[in-house]
Amino acid sequence: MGIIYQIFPNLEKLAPELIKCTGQTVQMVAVSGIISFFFGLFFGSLLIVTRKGGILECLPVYNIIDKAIDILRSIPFLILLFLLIPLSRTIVGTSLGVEGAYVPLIFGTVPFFSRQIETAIAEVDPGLIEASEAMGFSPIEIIFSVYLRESIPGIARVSMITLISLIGLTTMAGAVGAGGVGDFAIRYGYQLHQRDTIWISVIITLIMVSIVQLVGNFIIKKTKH
Amino acid sequence: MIELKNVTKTFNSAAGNVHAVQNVSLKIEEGEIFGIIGFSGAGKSTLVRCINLLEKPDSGEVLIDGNDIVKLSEKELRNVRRKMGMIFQHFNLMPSRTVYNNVGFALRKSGLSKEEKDKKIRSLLELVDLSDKTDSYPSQLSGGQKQRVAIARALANDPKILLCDEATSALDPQTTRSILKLLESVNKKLGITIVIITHQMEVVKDICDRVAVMENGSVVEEGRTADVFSHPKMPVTKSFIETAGNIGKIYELIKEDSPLTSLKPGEKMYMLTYTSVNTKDAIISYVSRTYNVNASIIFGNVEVLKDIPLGKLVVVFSGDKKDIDAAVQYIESVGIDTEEIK
Repeated sequence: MGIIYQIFPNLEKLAPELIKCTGQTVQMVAVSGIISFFFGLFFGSLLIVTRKGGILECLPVYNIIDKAIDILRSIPFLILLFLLIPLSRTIVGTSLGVEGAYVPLIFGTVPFFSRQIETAIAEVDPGLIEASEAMGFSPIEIIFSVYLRESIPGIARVSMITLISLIGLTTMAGAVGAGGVGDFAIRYGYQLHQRDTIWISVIITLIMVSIVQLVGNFIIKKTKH
Repeated sequence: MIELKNVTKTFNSAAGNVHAVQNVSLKIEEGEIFGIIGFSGAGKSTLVRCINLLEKPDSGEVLIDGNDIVKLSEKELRNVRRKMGMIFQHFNLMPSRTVYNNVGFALRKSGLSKEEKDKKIRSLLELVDLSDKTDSYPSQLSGGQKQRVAIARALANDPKILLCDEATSALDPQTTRSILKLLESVNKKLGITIVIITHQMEVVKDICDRVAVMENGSVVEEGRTADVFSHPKMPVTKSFIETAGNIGKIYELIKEDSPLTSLKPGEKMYMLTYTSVNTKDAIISYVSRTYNVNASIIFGNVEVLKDIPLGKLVVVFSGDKKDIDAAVQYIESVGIDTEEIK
């Protein structure tokens, strides 16, 4: 341990704080990640089935979602954080702390993720859809058993990318008082000039990203044939 | 069984309207193997998709056992589709599922118990001779094996009709033959009506009872396979016959003025086309003896169209013009088509 404390002199004193902040990041990533995952799957699938030639072609729905995604994606996340304060208050009752970060994190993730899901699902061979229709399956069955089921490797891949970018977003949320590793780095590393705490934050983030990548690659390997 | 009445389907695109299927009426009888042959772009794939309404016709009726399925609701249509199997050129198997689960997928809505499904899947895989591949993934199979899985899947719900869209076009000749054999045995064993879309003459030739020839969205010729190909009326039908054998080569040779086809004065070249009725009689030697003409066969080809032989011979006659004419007249009188080609 001695050598670690030599490299990171402030670690010993700040360890409890660091654990708490890491926990906050994990919580933000987990909660907004899970919610975004379902929204992303929903909107991504909706884009595929309502597009021109889709199994539930409905261009008005497609166009609305398509444009909404483009608009939301063009707003920088830091601005989105402030923009969504009133909405956050309405939905979760606060715009502060970890809970206050959920709404902006979800709004910052879902559009990006929906697009990624759309691309992943678009790779499903149209022949499979045709065969399923010929077998007498309904559109809902085709969405779940063919589109989503057959693109699990692709969905795992884009989920991995999205989760990693979500980890990035949580550090920004830290800047407005949501806590987390980003907040830790800003408070101790930037404001108190304890440079080693920045490195500690980098390492913690790296570990989180690596875990996500490991799990993602494992799923891809297991589901790709 | 299946009856199409004045079916028309037009695709609108930026480049203009494509009349994929134009006013097609067809009647396909129960238990027969019906071929629809045409070159690419003839509209045959669209036509077969009109049978299970993967393409909705713009107008016309699609009668299955007398019911017009165009009028059905989506839900009723799905029930009809479950009783119609379909196989495709590129197999369309689910890559993430094993062979077993690919067949099982089709049984999802069958209402069978788990044990019944298992029994069904295993018997289907036995039927297509793939019992040893149950746990393989499609990517581990050859093209022919994939098509066998697709056939097993298509037969899962005990359909009365099997639609085949260019099912052998992606396969090599040997595999094509084995798949055709399988389809033929399925037709015989289970009594399933099979509709085959193809551009391969050998497919029609091998297994189709009746055939419709398509060109530019219309059926231009239709009838028993042997009849259609022994007495082709349309140029497109003739060109299909040429793709099957090497007989078309003779026209090329004539055009190129090959020494093989050069004639001495007084000689005439005829193409004789005959079917089963007269294959056993010694017509050439009889003609030669009786009419005092020499006949030399320079080119020949015999096809077997679903058990009926179709022969084509290119014969050079030499002798008196009068004798040759009499000989040709005799040949015609016994039911052999003759055509003077040089």
